[in-house]
Parts: sequence; structure tokens; C-alpha cells
Amino acid sequence: MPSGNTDKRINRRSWLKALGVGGAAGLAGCSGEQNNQTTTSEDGGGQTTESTDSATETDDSSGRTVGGTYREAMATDAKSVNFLFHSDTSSAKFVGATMDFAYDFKDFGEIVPLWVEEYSETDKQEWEFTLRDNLRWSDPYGDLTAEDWVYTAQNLYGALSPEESETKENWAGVVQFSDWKDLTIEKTGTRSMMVTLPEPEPAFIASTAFWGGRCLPKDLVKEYVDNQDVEGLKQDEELNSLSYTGNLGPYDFEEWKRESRFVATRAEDYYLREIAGSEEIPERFADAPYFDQYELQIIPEESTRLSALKEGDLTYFEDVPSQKVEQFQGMDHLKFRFPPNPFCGMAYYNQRPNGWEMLQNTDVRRALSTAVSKTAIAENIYRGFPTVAQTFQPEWSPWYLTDQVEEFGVGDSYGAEKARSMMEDAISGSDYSYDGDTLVDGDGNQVELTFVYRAGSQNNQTVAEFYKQELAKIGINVKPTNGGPFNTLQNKYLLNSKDGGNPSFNAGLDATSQEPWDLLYGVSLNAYPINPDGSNVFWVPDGGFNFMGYDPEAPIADLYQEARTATDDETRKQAFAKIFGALSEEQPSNFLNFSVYKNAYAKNYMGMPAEGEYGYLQGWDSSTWYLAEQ
Amino acid sequence: MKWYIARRLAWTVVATFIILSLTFGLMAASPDPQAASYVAQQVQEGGDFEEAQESYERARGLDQPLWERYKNYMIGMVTLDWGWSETRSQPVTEAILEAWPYSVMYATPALIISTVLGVAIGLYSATHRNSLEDYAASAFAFFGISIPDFWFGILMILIFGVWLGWIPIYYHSDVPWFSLQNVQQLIAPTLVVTLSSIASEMRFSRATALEYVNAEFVKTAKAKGADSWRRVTRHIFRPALVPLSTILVGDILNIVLVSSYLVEVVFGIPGLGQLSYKAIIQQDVALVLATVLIPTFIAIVGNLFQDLAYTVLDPRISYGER
Repeated sequence: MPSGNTDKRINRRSWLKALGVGGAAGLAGCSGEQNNQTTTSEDGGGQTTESTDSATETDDSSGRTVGGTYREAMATDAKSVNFLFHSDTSSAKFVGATMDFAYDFKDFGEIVPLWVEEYSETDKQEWEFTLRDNLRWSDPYGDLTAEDWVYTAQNLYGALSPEESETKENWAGVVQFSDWKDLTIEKTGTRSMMVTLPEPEPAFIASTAFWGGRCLPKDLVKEYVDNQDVEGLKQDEELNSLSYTGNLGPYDFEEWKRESRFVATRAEDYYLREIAGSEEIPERFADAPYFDQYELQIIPEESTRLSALKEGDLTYFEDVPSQKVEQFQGMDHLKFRFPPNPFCGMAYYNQRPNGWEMLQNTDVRRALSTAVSKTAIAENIYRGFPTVAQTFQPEWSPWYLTDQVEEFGVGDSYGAEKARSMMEDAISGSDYSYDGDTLVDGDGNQVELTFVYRAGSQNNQTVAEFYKQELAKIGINVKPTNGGPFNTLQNKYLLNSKDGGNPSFNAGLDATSQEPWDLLYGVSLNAYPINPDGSNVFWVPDGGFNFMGYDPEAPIADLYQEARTATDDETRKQAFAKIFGALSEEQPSNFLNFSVYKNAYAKNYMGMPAEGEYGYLQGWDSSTWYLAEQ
Repeated sequence: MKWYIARRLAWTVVATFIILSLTFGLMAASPDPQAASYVAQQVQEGGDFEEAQESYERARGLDQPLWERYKNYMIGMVTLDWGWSETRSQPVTEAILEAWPYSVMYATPALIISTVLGVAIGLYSATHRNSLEDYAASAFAFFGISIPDFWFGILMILIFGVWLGWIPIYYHSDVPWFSLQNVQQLIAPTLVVTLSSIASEMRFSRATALEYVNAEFVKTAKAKGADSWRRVTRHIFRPALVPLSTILVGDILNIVLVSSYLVEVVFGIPGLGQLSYKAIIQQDVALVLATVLIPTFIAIVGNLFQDLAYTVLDPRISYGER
């Protein structure tokens, strides 16, 4: 049992080690402890870690000049810039141009303090955050203070005040509710506030309550809160034109022409400029951002977007289609970066009563996963960009321990012969058997599995067809089935119910979906490599998103609880290692791959990490990237 | 005649009511992708399924009884309070007001060009049947009918935008409407829409005119010394105009309902086509209902004007008794 850390407040750097990703440096220079990074007492190591700030390679401010237009093409428009109601990628991008948030991560366990200047914690349960003193809303809302944050959290996000104990209703239907509903927040000073958790949570800082969190001016929303006026809150002109954002982000909102473009202009008083050159905010922020104008062009048709990229109209293009990368890499005016993507592509096994009954048998699932070449899927269907997955963490995650993870579908762990032999062992004693090369049930009929894939991507269908080929080698017939777009797929296959009750993603392990299925592909899930605590909803028996009906043999729920509350690095790391080891061993789904983003940049767009060094989180300083003189 | 028009206008109201009611019913019965994605996101972040669903419905007024929602929508339609677009975060009326000028900018010239040229070429083909020019015009018409707007638009961008650099690759909405730059960027979408419309106009006017080319009254006119131009314009074109006018409304609807969807997506034009296409795809009920009104209005009022035009084009037609 980890030793407690009671009765003392530890600094934020110490906390960073508690993430269990040793080697990372923390926030620097916020509380007079710049040069001593001590670990908490739990691990007893007293280790000192050095900053590995990859930003130093781009810290040179020379050559940066302010000017030009940043232009990016996007396939879909934002639904709203009122961040209370929408969190889709486009909406987040629009808002992100005009407002930073509490803090960001630039590496595992390495934080960039943005609005929040510093934090401390007591017993991993009480977390105090202090805001910077130079944060201002637009007139007439004055300074951004703890009062704004606490008011927003308590009245809109569903956080509790110390006097309250019952979970609130999400009266406004805000998207932040699930992050905040169990938290208690109170103001402890003009700029400081305390969050109290229901139980100690060492990695709370890496949860999405504050990481990526924002608040609103109290005076702007108070009237709507007092009247519980959802329509007013939704339709408020200031909230829908980002006119309240003051000096809180690199750009000021200028125009949003729906289905056409979003434009913001360089903020003249961006708060980070005032503190550039401090230890935590590099000097290159002194003139950030380095574009006069920030423009997001909405172009729904992919070929038109690609034509714009080809013609040099764009500064940046996110995720060039795999089949086009080689062609565009050959263009002189472009360069590429391939940051890893934390979404795991999986073929889920339906372990509910309306799936093939043998899928509830771990050995059968292991045999099936052995029969399918992950390398072929990554190399031939996805053109070599993804990395093969073996569990619900990518290899580059600090929680991935090779010695705990069992491999399937690669090297010696792949092959029809081996899979067949495993399958024969797995079905012995059951009604199923091999009749020659065919796997048959008790009536002598060949086993047929329904492989449902999400519509909208040719690759999803190709994977289904490939599965058909691979499983045919072990005598199983696969029937590829188009499951429709996500909402149809969700209604027919992901939601389940029992005895006519209300459907949900997991209405009990014996609940069944509207339509039967055996394998399902096309729903990628975020592995949360920064803090995988939240991934329990997929893998524990009563997990809210355990739609495949997985009932683990390993004590995964206990391990998640252990990882969530562990107060020392090693315990947490080992708990996660056991979880992801067990997942690889039990194969609740066949973990196929983790993709990468194939991002194209104008050649003279500078400042980003070099090719091969662009990690998962290295866009944190993108407001300092600039156009070099041609 | 006045009674006929009054009845037709009354029918317009009834038809609009029926269409809106049907659309509302269909939308209410369809699964909501916004809800699906909101709930999935909340649950993946540790939220409760039922709670997420309830808060989504409450925030959008979907927790009210269906009848209540229907009544509110209908009252809103009559009072011009067309609601709030959840996918654009703006009033529906504002969304439509913002979008329509962009569609008009390319649809109007496309309609005029396709009508004038289509009819003219059709008449020429009819009067020069089986000539080289007729074959060329027919080939052009079949090309226009066969080629998908979507594909043709992409081809235009590649050839004239990327290779030749004559036109912008996508529509820039910041360009002033009354400028050469705007004309330049509207050329390609106008051509794409024109091509598909002109082709059908041509074939139809050719077929219609052919009925009259060898008619007795045309032969009489020829015998009386009427020259070719007079025969075509006075004796063939005029009677052919009655059936020709029937496809004009269809053509406008084709542009509004089909071509604009495709052309605006390809060129990135923020017009009515994209507006209604996205509204349907994203199940933005208020916006769908409002955008359904536009083709409904065009169809009903257009047909009324078309019927009235008959009486002008052919004095033998009269609604006086009806």
C-alpha cells in the first residue's frame, strides 16, 4: 500500500512524478522551486529530473517576424463558438484561436501553465489553482478571477459548492457536465480556487476538468443562470461572437461566415506576451502570434481542399489522406509531420447473448486475433502509416510495458495454422468442431460471423473483406455488413437493453442490441495516453461504454481503482501495466492499430518540431510558429 | 380568373402546411445524429447515458410532447419566428438571409443562359434536323445530361484552377459581390449548373419544336413567303412555348434541389444548397423545415405563374369557367 502523503502540501512538480511517467519535468519557476524537482515521499526515491523541453530547439526568436495570413482548410464548419454546447473539432478550433485554457501538456507529465499560473494539492484530494494576474475579459467584464471560474463551474458545469452534496442536474445541457459533476469547488482568494475530489486522485491534473478547461465572465451568464434560461444562454450574442475574450487568446474574433470561413486577427495584448521569457513561457512568445490574420476556410469537398493545398493556398492541412501523402510529399512547397494519434482502431467481439456464443470464451477470441494479420491491415489497407496495436495503449505511451503485453496477429503470433490449432483447443468440449477445414456447429453448419462496419470509409469495408479472407483460412465464414453511419450503428448495434428496458451502451452484460452482430469495426476510441483513468468505461463490467459486453477475467475494475488512487508512481504504473497486459491477453477486441496524423505544412511555415520529433502533444506552442521570409 | 387565382393561392397555403407537417413528422421519426454523438461523448467521458440523453433533450426542447413541439413549429412558421439553428448557432431566418444571395449569384445567370441558349439551340436543331449541327448539338446535350455535376465541377477546378490558374480553386466569400473577382470565381459553378440545365432545355425544345416544323400552318406561312426567321419565331417558337414553359419551373427546382447541393459542396459556396444539405445531414430540424419551404414555394407559386402564363401564350386557354 502506498504510503500516504497526508498533512502536507506538495508542489506541482512533485505531482508530476505521481503521474508515473518519470523523466518528465514539471512546471518551472512558479513558486521559487525552480531547480529542485523532488519526488513525493511515496516512491522514496527523491529523484531529480531534468527538463527535456523539446521547445528549446525552437526557442530562437530570431527570424520570426509578424505578418501574413495563416490559412487552413477544414471539411466541416463549427457548430458553435459557444463552447458550453459543442465540443466538435471545428468548434474547438475556432474557440481555441481566441482563448487559451487553464493549462496544457507539452509532454507526458510536462505542463505548460496558461491561465492557471500554479497549483498545489493536499493528499491528492484537494487541488488549489491560482490564476495569473494579467487575465482580462473584454469590457465591461474586467479581470478573469476565481469568482468567474467558481461561478461557471457551480452554476453551469454542475460542480458543487462545499455546502452541497447532491449531484446537480445538467439544466443547460452543457458538454462540461461529465467532467465536473462530482467535484466541489470554492473560491479561496481573488485568483485562487480549491477543488475537492470525492476521493484522492493523483492524476486529477490530467483529467479534462482543468486541462483544456475554460470559464465565462460571471456577469455575462448570471442573468441566464438566475432564470435557468437555456435558450438565452445558447443564443447570447456575445457568447456566439466571442466578443468577451479580452486578452485571453492569441487572436481576436473578427468574422464567422457560416460554411465559408472563420477569421480572427492578431490580438494586440495577448497575456502570454507579458510573461514571455520566464522559465515556463519561452521568449519566443514575446511577439506571439506571428500571423496578422488567422483564417479557417471551410471546404467540404476533399478534392477541392487538396487542390488548394497543391496550389499553395494553405499554410496547414491536417491529415492528408493516406493514398495522397506520397504525391504531396514530392511537392517542393510542402513539408510533412506525422504526429501519433491516440485513437485505437479495433475489431470488437460481441460477448453479449446475441453474439456468437463462443466469443465469450477468451481462448476463442485469442484464436481469432491470431488469424488476422495486423501488419497487412496497417501496411496494405492503411498504406503503412499506422503502428500495429497490441493493447489499448500505443507503444509510445508511458503506460505500455512490453513485457506485460501479449502479441497477436504479428510475426510468430500470426498464422492460420497456429490460429486453427488454438481454435481447436478452445472449442474442445463444446458443440463446435472441425469438419475438414470448416468450423461447424453441433448441427454441422459452418460457423458464420457477422462483421459490421461503419459506413463512410472505404477502408472500413476493406478491413471487413480482409477479415473474411483471413477467417476463411480457419474455416469461418464472415459476412461483412454495412452498419450505416455512426448514429445508425449506435442505435442498431452499440445500444443494448434487456426486457424492454431503456437502451444504453451497457444495460448489463446480458442486455442485447437491436440487431445481432459478432464483430464490429469503425469505432475508434481514444486511449487517453496522458491519463488512461477514464478508459475504464470501456473495459470494466459495468463501464458505461462497454457495449461489447466484456466481462474480464482479470480484476480490471480493481486495477483501475488502484491506478486512479495510487499515490506513488510505481504502483500506478504497475496497475496500468496489468490492465493493459490483461486486455492484450483476454482480447475483448482485436486491437489493430494506432494511426498517425499526416499533416502537411507550407515549406516556409516554421517553428514546429522537426520531422521524427513531432510527438503526441507538441502543438502546444503553435502560436509561436511563423512564416519565414521566402 | 380572380376566383381561380384565389383558389390556387389558398391551395398554396394548404400544400405548404401538408409538406411542413410531413417533414416535421419525418424529422421527428428519424434518429438524431447530434444526440447520438453528444450522448456517446458524455458516456465515454464517464457520464451517465440516461442523464446525458435527458439533458440533451431538455436543452433543445425535445423533452416536450410531440404535439407541443409541432404546434410551436407551426406557430413559429406563421409568425416568421423560424427558430434557432443548432448546427449554425444562429436564427434560421438569418441563416437563410445569409445564404440565398450566394445561390442567386450563380443560379440566375445559369438559368437565363440555359433557357435562352437551350431553347435557341433546340429550335435550330429542330429546323436543321439530321444536319451536322444537329448531331453536334445532340452530342453536346447528351454530354451535358450524362456528366455528373459533381464530377464536372471537380474537373473544372483541376483544369481551370490548378493547371491553368484561371479561376480560384474555391469560393472566397470575402470578395465583394460586385467585383470582377467575384465574377471570375462564379464562372465555373455557373457553367456547371448551366451545362446540366441547357442540355435538358435543348432536348425538350427540339422535341417540342419538331412537332410544329412540318405543321400545316408552318407550311402555309412558308407558302405565303414568310422567311425562315419569321417561321421559327412566330409560327414554331410561339406554340412550342406552352409546353416549354412547363419545364422552366422544373429547371429552377432542379437547380435549387439538385445542382446547388453538389456545386456548392464542390466549390465551397455558402449558399442555400449547402445550407439545406447540411441541415438534413445533421438533422437540424428548424433549419430543415425552413429550407423545405423554399422549393415548396418555388414549386407551388412557380406552377401558378406557369398556368397563368399559358393564357398569355395561348389565348385559347382560359380559366374563366373554373
